[in-house]
Amino acid sequence: MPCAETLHTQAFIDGELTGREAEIAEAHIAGCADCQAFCAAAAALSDGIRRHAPRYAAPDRLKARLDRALAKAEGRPTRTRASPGARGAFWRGAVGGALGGVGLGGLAAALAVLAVMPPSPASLADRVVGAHTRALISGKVIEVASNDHHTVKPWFAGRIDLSPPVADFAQQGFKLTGGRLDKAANAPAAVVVYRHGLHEIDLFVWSDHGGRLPGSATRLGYHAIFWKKGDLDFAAVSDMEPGELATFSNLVRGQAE
Amino acid sequence: MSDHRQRFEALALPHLDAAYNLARWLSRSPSDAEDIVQDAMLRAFRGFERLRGEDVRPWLMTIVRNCWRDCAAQRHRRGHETLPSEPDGAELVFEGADAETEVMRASDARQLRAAIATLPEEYREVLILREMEDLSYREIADAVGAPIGTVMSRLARARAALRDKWLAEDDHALR
Repeated sequence: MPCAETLHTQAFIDGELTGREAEIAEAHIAGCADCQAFCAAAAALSDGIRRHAPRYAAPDRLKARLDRALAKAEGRPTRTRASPGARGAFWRGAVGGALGGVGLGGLAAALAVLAVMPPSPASLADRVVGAHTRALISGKVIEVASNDHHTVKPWFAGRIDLSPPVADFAQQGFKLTGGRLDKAANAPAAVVVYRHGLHEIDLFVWSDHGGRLPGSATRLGYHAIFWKKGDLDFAAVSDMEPGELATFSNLVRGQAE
Repeated sequence: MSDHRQRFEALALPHLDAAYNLARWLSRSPSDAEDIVQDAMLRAFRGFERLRGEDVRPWLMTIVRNCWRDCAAQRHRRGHETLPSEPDGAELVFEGADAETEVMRASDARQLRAAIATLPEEYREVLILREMEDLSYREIADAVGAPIGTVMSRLARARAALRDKWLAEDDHALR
């Protein structure tokens, strides 16, 4: 195996590192040819899988079968409680196994700690910028590509339990290009992706859990603007000028629901 | 339909395609995948009341993966091995490409799918969970019952194997 830091580099491109950990990994990659090659190969592979390896959809036949099987199982509700121990055990076992592993390495322990801490406004800025740059590096910016909000908005349904506002602002120079799922503030986030000239803009939307937001922030040359609306938190992230990003976020904030 | 079942369907059915996709890639067989998903959904139906605040999708992925393991163990006891089915290209649709590029891409696709299908099981499952189902390391560790460190090294090996098998064949990265 080429570089001893390969697993850290991999954790970085998989979006598992945040804050200081991510900065350390990023700095290492910048100076390590092996890790740069690893990133390029992993990104090409990821891209290849998205383009060439199909996601199989459940056949209708299976849906019908399942419907019958569930109806049958429903008819015998007593069996539900017959073996709670055994049913619960594999899940607890799986969780126990994972927690056991956390003790093994400093990195794993750090990941676990990061995952349970509520993010401060400052680290929230790190996280959304980190998520944005990781998406750019790994080429995973867009999971559903479309400039039609009638395609992008329903795509999120069933994938995440919130409905982000999606609109095209092509007239104002911000073209809707698609969406993906990501994470912000330890919570799943819907990301609506826009393009302004050569700049990619990620609009993160996640459920408000009462966390404070930073307002605006700049990290590694990327700008982020945060706001709350209703029970949702928003962050717009891009490498374009702060003024243009403000124009964009005002458009989004002002749009009719 | 009971409340119980309605709640289950609202929770689990949005992930049916993901469950089938995982079972299909793990088992490499459409008919096994259907059996595995049915088994998994029934197990999930019996157990979902105990789900407390966890994400449904990783939980369901875990059950699918366990059902696949059970199914594979049964086959092994009966003494027959599932052969990887011939990767098929029928469902791939190419838009706006000329015939030659199409053929090249179809062959790319076949090679990549064959390379994934022939990965050892331990590598294949972490790769599919990460690259297709987008689970975090923690969720993958839960699903396969291995420490996070093991998940990380298996994932790196899976990627290295595919890099050698697929990327090395010619320069797919540049297309």
